[in-house]
Amino acid sequence: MLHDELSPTASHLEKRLVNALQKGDPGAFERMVRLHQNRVYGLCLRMLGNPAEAEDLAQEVFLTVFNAIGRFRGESLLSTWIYRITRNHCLNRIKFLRRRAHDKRRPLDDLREADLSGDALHSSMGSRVARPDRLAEGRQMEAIIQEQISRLSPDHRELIVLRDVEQLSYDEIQQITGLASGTIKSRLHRARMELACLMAPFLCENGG
Amino acid sequence: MEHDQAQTLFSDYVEGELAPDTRRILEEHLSACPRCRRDLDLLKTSLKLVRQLAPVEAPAEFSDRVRRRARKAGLFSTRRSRHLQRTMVPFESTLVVLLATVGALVFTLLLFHGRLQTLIVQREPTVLLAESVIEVNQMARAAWDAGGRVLMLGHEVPAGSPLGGFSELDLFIPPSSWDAFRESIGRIRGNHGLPEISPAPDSDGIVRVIVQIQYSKIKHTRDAADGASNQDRPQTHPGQISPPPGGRE
Repeated sequence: MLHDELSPTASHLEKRLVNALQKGDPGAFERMVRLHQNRVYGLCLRMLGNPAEAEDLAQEVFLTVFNAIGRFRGESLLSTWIYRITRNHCLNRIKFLRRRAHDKRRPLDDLREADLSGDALHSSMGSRVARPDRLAEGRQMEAIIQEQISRLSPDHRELIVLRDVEQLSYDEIQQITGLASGTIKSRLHRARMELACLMAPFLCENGG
Repeated sequence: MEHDQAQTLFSDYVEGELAPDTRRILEEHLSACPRCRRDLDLLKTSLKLVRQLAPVEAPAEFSDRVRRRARKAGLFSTRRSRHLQRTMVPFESTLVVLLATVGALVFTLLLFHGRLQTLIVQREPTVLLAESVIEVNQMARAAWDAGGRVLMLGHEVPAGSPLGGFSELDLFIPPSSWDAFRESIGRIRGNHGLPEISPAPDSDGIVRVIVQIQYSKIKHTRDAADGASNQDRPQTHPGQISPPPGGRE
C-alpha cells in the first residue's frame, strides 16, 4: 500500500533518488525499479490479466518514468506519480489490445451493459451464497477472480484494482486517476456490483 | 426502503461509511428482505475474495530485463548529455543570438563596402547590338547624357569623343538615369530599345550595357539596301535586342 506521507528519512531518500534519476544515474534507475517493480507489475497484471503483457507494459512504464522524471515536481509522492503513469499505460494498452482483437465481444459484455441495480445480479445467482472456504480452492479461485476482473470495463476495473486489490486510500486513487471523490465512490459502487454479478455463478451453491 | 435504494448503499455499508441512521434503516430492510440479504452476501464474499488475492511479485530478473531494455533504448547513454543540454540551453541561446548579431554586423559592413554586393549581383550585362558606327556613337552619347560612363577595351572614353573601329563598348548607366537612357535608345532604335526588365546593377552599383557592332547585320542591311530578301536576316541570340525591321544604317 502506498502511503500518503513519508517519514522525514524516507522523504529525504526519495528526494535523493529523484535527483539522481534526473541526473540520469543508471544506479538510481535500478534502485527505483527494484523499489516499485512489484506494485507496478502487480497493477499491470491485475489490469491486463496477462503476465506477458503485464511484464512488457511494466518495463515500458519504468522507461517512461525515467524519460519523464525531469517533469516530476515532487507535488505528490514518487510512488503515486509512478502509479499514475502505470494506470495511464494500462488504459492505453487495454484500448490497443481491444482494437487488435477487433473489439470481439464476449458473452458477458452484454451482461456488463445490463441493469446492474439488482435484477441482473439476482437472476445470475442461486438461492444461497457459498461460504468462501467451500469455494474452489486457492489458485483456481484466484484465476476465476482475475478472469472476472478482466471482464470489467476499464473504468470499473481500475477502481476495483486500486481500491480493493491494492487497497489504496481514496485520496491516493484521486491523485492517480484525477477523478473527483464522488465520481470514484459512485463508480466504485457500480464496479463492485458488476463484479459481484460476474462472480455470482461461481459463488452461489446451486447457481453456478 | 426499496430494493434499489438499499443496494445503492451496499458499497458504503461494506466499507463502514454509512451514517448511523442510514445504517439502521438499511439493516431493518435487510432483516426483512432475503433477496437484498443474499445480494449483500454476494458482494461481501466477492470483495473478500478480491482482497485476499495474493500479492503479486514481479518475475525474477525483471529489473535486469528493464535495465537491458533501457540500455538498448539508449536511455543511459543520452541521459547525461540530455541533462547537460537542459543546463546548457541558456548558454546556447546566448551563443546563437551572439553569432546572429556578429553575422548581421559583418553583412552590413560588407554591404557598405560594396564587396558583398559584387558577390550578389554578378549577372550578365545587357547586350545591345548596333547596326552601324553611327548608331554606336549615338548610344555612347545617350550614356553620357544619362550621366553614365563609356569604356572601350577597359579604358574610359572621355565624354563627347568620337568612336571608331572597335568590337565592344561598355556603357555604365546610373540606375537613376536608366529610364531616360532607355528612352534615348528607343529613339535611336525606333522603339526597339532595351528590354523592359532592367538589368541588375553591376559591381559599382550601376547598370552595365555592352554594345556590340553586328557586322553581319551591317552586311545584311547593305544587302537589303541592294534589294535582298528580309528572310536572310540573322537570328538574334537569347538576351540580345532584336534589331528593328528594316533597320537603319
